[in-house]
This record gives sequence, C-alpha cells and structure tokens, in this order.
Amino acid sequence: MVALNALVILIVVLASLSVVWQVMPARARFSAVRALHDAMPGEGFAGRFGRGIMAPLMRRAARGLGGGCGGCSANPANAGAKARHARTPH
Amino acid sequence: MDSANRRLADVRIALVGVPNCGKTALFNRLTGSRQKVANYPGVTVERKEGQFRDRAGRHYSVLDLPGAYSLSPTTLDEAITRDVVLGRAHGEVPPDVIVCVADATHMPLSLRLVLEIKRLGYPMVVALNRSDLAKKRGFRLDVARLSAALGVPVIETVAIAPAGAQALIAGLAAFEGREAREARAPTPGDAICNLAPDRAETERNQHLVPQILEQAGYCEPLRTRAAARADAILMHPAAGMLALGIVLFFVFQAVFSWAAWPMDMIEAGVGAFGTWVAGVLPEGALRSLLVDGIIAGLGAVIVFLPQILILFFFILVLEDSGYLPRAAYLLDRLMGGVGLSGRAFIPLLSSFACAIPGIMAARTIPSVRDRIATIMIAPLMTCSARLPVYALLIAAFIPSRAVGPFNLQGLVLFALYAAGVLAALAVAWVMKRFLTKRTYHPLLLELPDYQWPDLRSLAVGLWERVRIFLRRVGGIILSLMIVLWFLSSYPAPPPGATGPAIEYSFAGMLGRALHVVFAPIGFNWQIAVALVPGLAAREVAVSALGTVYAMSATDSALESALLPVISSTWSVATGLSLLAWYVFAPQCLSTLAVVKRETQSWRYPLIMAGYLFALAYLASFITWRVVLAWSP
Repeated sequence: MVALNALVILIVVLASLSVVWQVMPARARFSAVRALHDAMPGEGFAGRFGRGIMAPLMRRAARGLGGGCGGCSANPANAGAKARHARTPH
Repeated sequence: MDSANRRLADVRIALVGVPNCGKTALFNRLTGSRQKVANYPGVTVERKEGQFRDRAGRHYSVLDLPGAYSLSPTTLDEAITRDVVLGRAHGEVPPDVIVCVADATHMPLSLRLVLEIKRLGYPMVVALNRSDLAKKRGFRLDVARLSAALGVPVIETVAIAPAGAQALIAGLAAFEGREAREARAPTPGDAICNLAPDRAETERNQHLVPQILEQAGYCEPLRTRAAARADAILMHPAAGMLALGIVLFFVFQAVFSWAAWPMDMIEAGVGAFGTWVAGVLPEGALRSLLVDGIIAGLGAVIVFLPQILILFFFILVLEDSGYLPRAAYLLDRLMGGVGLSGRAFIPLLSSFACAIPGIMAARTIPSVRDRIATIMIAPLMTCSARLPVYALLIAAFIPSRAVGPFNLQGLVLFALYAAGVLAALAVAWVMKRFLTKRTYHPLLLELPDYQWPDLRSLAVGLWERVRIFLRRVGGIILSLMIVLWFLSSYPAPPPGATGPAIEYSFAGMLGRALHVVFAPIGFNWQIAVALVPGLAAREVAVSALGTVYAMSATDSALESALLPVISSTWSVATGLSLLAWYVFAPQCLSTLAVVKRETQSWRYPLIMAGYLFALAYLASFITWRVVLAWSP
C-alpha cells in the first residue's frame, strides 16, 4: 500500500510539473530550464548527471522558441519592435 | 545584378503577372541557370533578376517581380511590383519592356492586370502562358484578334516546354532598348504614366474584360461552363448565401445524427474499462486516481472524437472541392460592411479548428488595423475545443426530437456556431465604428476549379485531426486531470463528515470561493471548479466536470457517466447559461499567449480577455434570467 501511495505521489508531482511546463510561455520556460541547467556543477558525477538530464529538456524548450519557421525574420515574434508581416502563415 | 551587367543589358524586361501564372517558370526558361536572387531590404519576399542573349547577340536583363492581381496593392508583394513598374522603387531602373504574363486558362483574371499595365504606356507584350494546357482543356481563343483588341502583341508561350519561349524571344527583338530610345527624338508614345489605378478604373476594367474576350472569340470548355453555371448559383448574392446556409446547416445536423452510434460505443468502452480497473485494483488512492481522475476525466472528453471528425470531414471536403474560396468571395461584402478585410476569411475559417492557427494566419492581412481586428475576433469563431462542451450540454438539456425535417439538437448546435459568427461580426463593426479606421480593399482571389475531393488527402487530413486531439488528451488534459483529482481528494474529509470528500477538498474550497462570482449567472460550484483547468484548454472543462462529479458521486453507477448526472442535477437555466458562456468563452491561455506574440504587446491580449469575459458574463446572465423567467 505504501508503494502504491508513493507511486500516486510521483504521478501527481510529474503531472503538476507537466502542467507548468505546458502552460508556461516558451521564453520563460527556456530561461527557467537553462538557469537550472547552468546551476548544476560542471564537475563531478552528480553535476554531470544533472546536466545530462537537463540538456534534452533544454533542447525541447528551445524548440518552443522556434528554430525553423519560428526563427524566420518574417515571424513577428522575431521582428522586435519593427512590424513585419509574412505573406503566408509559417 | 551589378552595375556592369546593367550597363551591358540592351533591353531591360520586367515579367509581371498574377500569382501562379507560370511567370517564374518563364523567367527560368528565358534565363537558364544564370539568374541571380536578391532580397529587397527589410522584406521577406524576393525578386529575381537574370540575363540572356538572343540569337542575334542582343543582351537582355530580366526582372521577375512578385505576382500581383492589381497595381492597387493589397499586400507587400504587390506593392513591390507596383513600385518597380511605376518607377518608384529606390535604386531600381525602370524596365524598357514589360512582358505581361497571362494564364491562358484564367484569362479573365489575367486580363485585368494586362489592362492596368497597358494604361501605363510602357512598350509591352502579352505572353499567353500555358497555351498548350488551355488548348488541351478545350479553351478557344484567337490570338491575333486578342492582340488587335488589346492593341499590343500577344505571343503564346509554354514555360515548361524546352522551346516554349522561343516565339517570345523572337518577338522581343522588335522592341528598342533605353539607349536607342534616348538617342532619338521623344514621341507621345514614350510618355509613362506613374499613377496606380483608382477604384473607378478597376471597375471599368472589370467591365472591359468580357468585351475584349468576346472580340477575341474566347470560349471556355464545357467543364468550365458547367463550373460557371454552378458559380452563377453558388456565388449569387442571394442564392449563394442560401446555399451556404444549407451546406452549413446540413453539416451541423450530420454532426449530431451520424455520431450517435460511435459515441455510444466509446462511452460503453470507457465505462467497461473503468469497471474492470476498479475490479482489479485494491481500494485506495491509486484506484481512485485511475478510475475517478483519469478514466472519468479523459472518457468524458474522448467520447466527442466522432463529432469532431465528422465536422472536419465536411470542412476538408469543402476545402478540397474548391467551394471555400467561393464562400470567401460571397462573404466579402458582408465582411467589408463590418470593417473586415476579405482576406480575413481564411484566418477566421482556420479559427473554427483552433483560434491559434487562425490568429497566425492573419499575418497575410496587409493592413495592421485589419489584422488586429481579425485577431481580436478570431476567438469568437467556435473552435473544435468547444464542441465537446456544446455536445455535452445540448445532449443534456435539449431534447432529441424532430422539428420539421430537422433534429432540434442539430438546430441548436447550428445556432451556437451562428451566434459566434454574428458576435464576431458585431464586435468587428464596433471596432470599425469606434476604434479603427480603414480603407476599402477590393478582394481579388483566384477561384480554383471544382473537383472531387481526393480520398487520400481526406484520410490524411482526418488522421491529422485525430492525432492532434489525442495528443491533447494524452498531454495537457491528462496532466490537468491528475492535478484536479489531487485537488479534489485532499485534504481528506474530517472524521464524521457526511458529504462527498470533494466538498472538503482544495477543489471544493476553490469552487465555493469562485461561486460568489458565478452564482449571479446560475453556475454551481462544480462548474466554477471546472472553469479553472479549462483555462488551459476549453474542452478540459468537460473532463474536469467528469472528474468533479465522479469524486462527488455516492452512487457507483454515476461515476462513469457525466451526462445523466448533469441533466438530473442542473436546471435547464444553468445548462443554457453555460452554453451561452462558451459562445464567448474567454478562457484559453494559449490563445492569449499567441495574441501577445503576434501583436508584440500585452495590450491586445488584455483587451481581448476583458471584452470576451464581459460578453460571456453578460450573455450568461441574460440567458439565465430569461430562462428562469420563462420556466414554470
């Protein structure tokens, strides 16, 4: 019973993190993950292990910022204060 | 092109034509592999420049300009073409000759631009491209008579054929270059008009085109005539609107009538699975999480998959058949009347799937004011996430009986979609009246041929919708249901408590706090709880209701089925009030985030959230009060 309850706690914690991840704005999400990654020590097993776990998350968060189309200068998100409009939706 | 090449060119040619007329293919045919691509500063569109020599050794430079329907631009691309042709483009030498590329299979559309170019006074030649395809399809046109009617040379080309541009190259030899022209005494024919056409001229050309085509013996093939007959009905201001109404009406009827059987199957499957899991697992937190949280929550929303698929099946069929651009044309006048651009149709149509791609598609609208107006009303289009909410409430509170030949539930669904559209038009009108000023841009768009929908692309499109829906169910909805289950289960009820555990939980406390705000519009505390996770995605509200009522249930039979619970515990006024709320439904954080990104400002998402909340609250309040007053 204790094991089942522990499993439930783990599921709830993971689901909560998942909700925060999915609802967070892309830029804030990336900044948070990068800050966590950089906070891990670069030396020692624990630090390297932590950075190893954070690295794919950081790549995933960076996707939300937009490589590809999102990185295109026609995307208003990347155009700064200057208004530009793409001819077709990206 | 560098200055040395420019000096060497004997004749500068500009290729101008409507989009997709084969202009770039002709450019490649003329210039071979020597073309050079350059970007205009600060603009994403590109123009191409290349050179070639004819057999006599004469050197030509060719400028391929972005496609344009008119020299009165409505997009940035068209503005570039206009500026180059009118000699306004900075650092661009005006062309010596304009080759106006006309699509032989879409002559009426191409000829309008030909007439606008001709008025400018440039030496010009009309390249009648795709002439092979036009003959193959049965189009008839006397090139010599067309040339006489237009007063300019007309040369047939086939840009994709190896020798398809030889006649054009031979025809260009007759034109003199800039140096030759400047060396002789100017004539009245050398005068170039650098004014863009006004609206009156556009309309005059519109009437001239059929006359010129008649003089040229233009005749469309039978298939096109049949399409023209269909267009005469489907694009008629009155008959067309009626046809559009009938089509949409049929779609919403089908959504309810055809989906009943697969929905029953899914519901029974979810119920059986929940019962099985409950039998296998020992009583405790894990069983409650799986049965009351995940299965009840996800089952409540996944049951609506057949209705979503039926709706998108019809949308895809209409898209593939070529009907939707005609609907855009038909609605242009209506949309123009409330201050929207005709180009807003496609973004608004996309918003029926989800407001996010619709808001992003608004980038195609050239005017910033029109674009903002379109973005602000896009969430009023009924997105597919609202369909599960509508379907649940309609099934619970609207009797499934016939009204004449129609199903009452289908009628109500149609009315809800129509209410969203009418609300959007009303908001656009208010914005036009009080907030923004705009100039009228006539909508010019190429109508595709009618065709039977391709079964493969239909299947791919439907699979895409299934994938998107299941990803949401397995992603944000699943996560939220687990969190909601936790909030609905803890803290545990105190010793001696008599009510369901949820009433003592965090969710119960939250629901009662929010109930103060929502009580005036008839919502109970369970609805108030469901609206909170619904901020992440609207359909989550249905899952949340499933979980909340499963946690509240004392009768095990009620745990797996949400529909009978709400139909027996809510009043009709409450159900209809929630329906009215979801017509405006301000809560979708993703939409607001995308609006912020697209407008580069917090101002518009905040205005949007505020006005949608106000409209939703007002509509629910009125509905609640009216139904209460009429209830026995």
